[in-house]
Parts: sequence; C-alpha cells; structure tokens
Amino acid sequence: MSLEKFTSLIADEFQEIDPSLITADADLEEIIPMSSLNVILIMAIVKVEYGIDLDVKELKTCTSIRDVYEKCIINK
Amino acid sequence: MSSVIEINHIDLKGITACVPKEKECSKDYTGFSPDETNKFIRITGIEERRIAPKNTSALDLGIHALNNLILQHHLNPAEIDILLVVSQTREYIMPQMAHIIQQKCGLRNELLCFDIPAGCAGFNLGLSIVGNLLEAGKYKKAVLICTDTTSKATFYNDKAIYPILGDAAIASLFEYNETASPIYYQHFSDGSGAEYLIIPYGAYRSGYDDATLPNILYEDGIERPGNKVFINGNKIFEFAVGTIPSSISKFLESANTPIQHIDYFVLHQANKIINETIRKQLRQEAEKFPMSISVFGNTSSASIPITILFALNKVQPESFPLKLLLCGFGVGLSWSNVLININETFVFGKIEEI
Repeated sequence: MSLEKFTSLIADEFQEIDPSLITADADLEEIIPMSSLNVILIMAIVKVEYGIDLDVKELKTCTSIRDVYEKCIINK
Repeated sequence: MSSVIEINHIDLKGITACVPKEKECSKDYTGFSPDETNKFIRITGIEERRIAPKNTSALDLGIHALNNLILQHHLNPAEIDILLVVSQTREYIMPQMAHIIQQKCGLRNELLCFDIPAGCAGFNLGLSIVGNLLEAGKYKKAVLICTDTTSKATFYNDKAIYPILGDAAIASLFEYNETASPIYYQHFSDGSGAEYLIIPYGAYRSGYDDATLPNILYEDGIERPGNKVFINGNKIFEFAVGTIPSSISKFLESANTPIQHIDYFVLHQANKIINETIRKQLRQEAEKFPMSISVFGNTSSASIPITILFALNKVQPESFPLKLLLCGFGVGLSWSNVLININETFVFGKIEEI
C-alpha cells in the first residue's frame, strides 16, 4: 500500500477532520490529538491493513502519518 | 494433553435474560463534547445501555432471569442439581449469591451451589465447569447464571468506562443428554495484564474502609475513587486484537473445525471496533458476527448469551443446528473459546425488563 493510500484510509476514518489537513507530513498531534479513541482507530487500521500490532507507546512516538506508515512497513 | 478439551452428553436447552428498564443513551452523556459523542458511538457501537437503579442489584436481576427460565422450561426447581452464579458485582462479601438465589427460587437444599467472580469470559468458564460436572452423568440439570451491575462500579465523570458498561443477567439451562453433540473449549489467563482492567480498592489487600479510600490519579489524567473500575482502553484493545484472532484460528484447528463451518461467532461485546478488527483478521462476513452492544453496552459475563438471545432469535428453523463459536475476553486478563451446537429445541427466552 502506498503512503497516499494509507493517508486516505486515515482521512476516511477521521471524517470529522477537514480532509485537506490530513497529509502525510502534517503534525500528527495537531491534526489528530492522541486521545484514547483516536489511538484505537489508528491501531485498528494498522492491524487490519498490515496485520501488525503497533503498541500505544510506539504510536505515540510518531509525529506524522508518514512516521506511522514507515513503522508499518518496517514491522510487516 | 491437548489444551482444547472436549466434553460430551451436554445440551444447552435455553437461555433467559433480565435487564433493568432504565436506559441511558450515549448521546445524553454530558462527559463528552459533541464530536466525542459521535466518535464514541461510531467506535464502540453503543447507542444505549441499561442501568440498574440504586435499589436493584445483580442478585435481583439473576433471580428474575432464573424464575423465567423455570417457567419457560416447565422446570420443577427441585430438579436442578447445580447452580453456578458468575458475577463480579456480588450482593455481599459473604455469603455467596448462589445460596440466596437457591432459596429465593425454591431450589432444593441438596445441590451443588457456588459463585465464580469472573468477568468477560465468565459464560464460557461457567459453561465448561457445569459441562464437566454434568458429563459424568451423576448430575442431570445445571443452571448457569451470569449477572452483573457493573455500572455501579463506575462513576459518572469517567468517560473511559462509564458510558460503556451496562447491567444485565442471564440464566441458562444445561442438561445431561446421551446424544448431544460434543462441546469444545479452551481457556487462557495472563495476569501480567491484571492492572489494565481493575478495581484496586474495596477488598482485603488495600482495605475496605470508606475513611481510607483514596482517589487515584491514573495515567489517562482521570482521577477515580479507588473502589471504581479503571480501564486502560488502549491496552485492552492491543490485547484483544493482538491475541484473539489467532487464538480463535488455532482453537478451531485443534477442534478439527474449518472456520467456514461456523454459523456465528458470538464474541464478548466489549466494543464494536474490537469485534470488527477481529472479524476482519479472520476474514469473515459481518453477518456472522451478531452484536447486541448497541442496545445493552458491555454487560460483562452476560454479553455472549444475551447476544445469542437478542441477535439470533430470528434465525430460521431450517438453519438449525447452529454451530457457534463463543469467545470471551477481558478482565484478568483472561480469554476463552467455546465451540457448541445449539439445536432446534433450544429455547430463546425473553429479555425481561424490570
């Protein structure tokens, strides 16, 4: 899966957020605050699309969607 | 010895349920911002739950469920040989609830009667215990009650757990039957995750005196009274989606049952996104994963049987027998799989409101 596709999957799940703000390199905490519900949504996408278990600590170290994507690629 | 256990000669004859009539809707919960409300409903699937009023206990709900079971099956209460009550919200520290229910529902004195303080995997645990006891043929009829009013163990401002837990009881009847299909089960425990879902105060390690009850500031920034439930939702999610899909696959393989032979996967109703993620990992259709969480929330050990009643009661008679995979997971941490057939004589009892 490309980074663009992964970013659009995230955008689909966060429909309450202006999609123009959801870009691969935007500051993740600024566009998607890492609340418990938001963390779960991202973990679910990663689990379903890549079959990997990204733990909460690891996810919270990511500063952008690109960071999350790269962790998925490395861990796959 | 295989860790998947087979038990024979046991029929699950029917289930009844009882819930409080009082409802609370997620959209009315004032602990959320409007955005959070919509997201909460979308992620958890919970639209409303049943909340027991102050004067209604898990014991009350359990008694109603059992009385209905007795009526539904035209049971003579004196025929019941085993009464097992699964609950984490017991009536008293002592005695056990099962003894009180035995007397209130007119069961005889000479019976095997006990409680188990289990949670989300409690129905499977109870089923395997009464199944093993019945299998030898010395006992003929067993009743398993799962009842909880866990809403009473939360406090309103805790948005991590208060809007999730609902109150409910079920009563189920198991009978010895020479011709019944085999039941398979497998249980797991991992106490390293005990702190992820816990009520730390109110028992004997920490004291149970109100005067010594502290508030605890947890890592999620919420301060809770020590005798209320704490959940680390992210860790529970990590555990459930990381552990359950492969646990179900391996279990079915050990039970020599191809996954496509399962008619329905009845999972503990923790939240919708957990069950959806598990389903997608198992590559199964949504229709095979019945849900009841939208109207009852997470009802602890009652959630699997109440989902059977709520979501499968309209299944056409020609579809029976139904092959069900029951999967409970949560507090402990504990998780458990059961493979069971229910046949056309199974009685889907009513879900009574009191």
